[in-house]
Amino acid sequence: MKLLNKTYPLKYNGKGSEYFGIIIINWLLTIVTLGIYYPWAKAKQLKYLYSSTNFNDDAFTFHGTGNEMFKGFIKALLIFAVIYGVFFFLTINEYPVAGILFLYAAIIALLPIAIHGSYRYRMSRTTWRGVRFGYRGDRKEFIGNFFKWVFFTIITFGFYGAWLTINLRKYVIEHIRMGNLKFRYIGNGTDFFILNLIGYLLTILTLGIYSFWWQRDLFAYFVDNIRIDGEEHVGATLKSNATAGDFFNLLVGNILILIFTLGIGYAWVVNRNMVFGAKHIIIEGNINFDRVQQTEDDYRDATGEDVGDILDIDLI
Amino acid sequence: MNTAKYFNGQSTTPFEVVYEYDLVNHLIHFTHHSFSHTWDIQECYLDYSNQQLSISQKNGDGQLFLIDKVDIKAIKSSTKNSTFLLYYQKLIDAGMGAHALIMLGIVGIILFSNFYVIPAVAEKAVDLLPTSYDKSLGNTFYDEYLDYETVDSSRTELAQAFMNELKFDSDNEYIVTVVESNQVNAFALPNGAIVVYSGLLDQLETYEEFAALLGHEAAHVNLRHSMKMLCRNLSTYIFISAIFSDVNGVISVLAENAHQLQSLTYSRSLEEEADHLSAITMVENNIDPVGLQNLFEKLAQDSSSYIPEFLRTHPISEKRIEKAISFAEQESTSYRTNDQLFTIFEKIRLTKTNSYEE
Repeated sequence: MKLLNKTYPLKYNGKGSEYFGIIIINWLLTIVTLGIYYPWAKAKQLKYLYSSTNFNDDAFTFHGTGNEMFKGFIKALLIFAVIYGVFFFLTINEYPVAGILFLYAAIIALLPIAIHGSYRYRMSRTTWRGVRFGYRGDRKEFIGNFFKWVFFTIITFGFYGAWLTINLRKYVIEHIRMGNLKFRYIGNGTDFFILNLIGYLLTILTLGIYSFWWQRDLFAYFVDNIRIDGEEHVGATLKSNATAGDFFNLLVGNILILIFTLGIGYAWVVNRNMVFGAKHIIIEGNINFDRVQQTEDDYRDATGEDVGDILDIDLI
Repeated sequence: MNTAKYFNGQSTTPFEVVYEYDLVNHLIHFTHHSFSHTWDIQECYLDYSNQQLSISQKNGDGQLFLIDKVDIKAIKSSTKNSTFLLYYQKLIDAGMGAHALIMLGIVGIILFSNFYVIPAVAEKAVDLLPTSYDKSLGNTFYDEYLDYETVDSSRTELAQAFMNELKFDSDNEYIVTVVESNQVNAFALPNGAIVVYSGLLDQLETYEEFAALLGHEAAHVNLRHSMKMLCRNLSTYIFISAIFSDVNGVISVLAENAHQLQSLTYSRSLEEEADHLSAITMVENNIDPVGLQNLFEKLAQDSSSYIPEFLRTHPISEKRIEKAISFAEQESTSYRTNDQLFTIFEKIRLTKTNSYEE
């Protein structure tokens, strides 16, 4: 018996004005506390974005707290203090080259650790209908892969970059769980490389006009290749229905808002992006979302998240 | 009695439950035909957003979503929030107008600090730094700089002799270097090195103009302007990155631009300060300060076709010319020609080489 496919609604209910209020109060408190409030500010922002996102008529919840992220923040600062300590020690003792090499090596080594840690924390602290997401990537394996792919990218003068991106994306997505549901990513580096090559060439040839089609393709290549697997022939697919015109409206609108409000409209830009994502990602399948089981552990160490913050990594 | 949505933390199955609450003891009791639970609200996280209140257990995975407005208000106000949370909620509920005002307030304070507080602090910081720091910084830059330039040695010697004839109200030593270049420019380093480009030197017609130029550059050194700019830029940068600590990436970009704008006005005020000291130095050396006025007018005229480097780093405003004129008028006693300076300057003019011009 083949189960009928249904479409699961995805909606973003946030308002720009509400998000603006959160950002401004966060800003005020961060300044007044000389920056110490930052982890709590971040928790507030994430909570708002998550709880305003509705899937199948129920909101996501971000359970992370400022306290957790503050502890992670302190640990992250200590890690950086040690790295810079060694760097200055080497520099002062007249090994400046060794110092700089050490600094770069340490920061590059931190990247995969931070990505891994962020996903573990972020996923574990996110729930939908009381069921946790989870990230089951293996840290050692991920670090090994990361350096292998970075090495290939370097020796191919960047050509391997497309495969690096897709491999990382695949690894991360395929280790994400929502309860007993698994995620899969079926994109591959070759297609992604060709997509970018065509996008790049046509964007130059059309003096930039093609960039909106390129954006559409990049977004679709990310979304359309995601699969959600349940047990025994049960699953769901994601599909983007965003057109180049939609991207034109979104991106040009965002830039105009930022320019004419002198950056104050940032909250509304975030809101537009969230609404856009929710509106243009169509999720279909035969998964019974009333029967997802809790399977993932609780994980409350936010160090990776905070290291990632200091290194300015954005999660996919 | 109202209904709420309950998730038991074991699966995504929604349960519609009927609940009642006892606000005196901070309890919420909810029932479904197959179970009933009582939670201590103080042992739960409350999150209100999008018109619904989420109550989730601190030590457990159960989660309850309430939508009744009256109940939500009652439960929210009953929980013993810390004073901080009460104020936080007040701020959040204040509405967009208040938030916009808060934002304007913060921006106002930041601008005020940026324009008035930070410069004052930075200048104090310069006073604390030993002058040896100026010297080593200037030396490093000077050595590196000269590696890339051709020095006009004969005119350098003459210019140095000219400089030595001038008396300054300072212990600094000045080393003048004439560099072969078409650029119309001159600059001073904090160690007392003054570099004059031949492109500028060739345009000077009187020794008063040259004295005005050297006096201006020497004033930059004496007033430690490079160090002030450096400290100023550095502290502004630290201030800005501290304020915006990545809370809002876009605003920081705008702030960066504001900083550019403000450092421009700062350098203008430094230029005026250097002009003034230069004019005073000229009078003290019994040189007609009209030289400063002539220098500016010549350079300003020249900018009609293209903007010389000197004007970009030392923008000559109407205001600067006016000040030079009024100073020259004020001090327009009869100045005796300084024979020594006159002679040296004539030699400089005669040694004018055009080898670098095509």
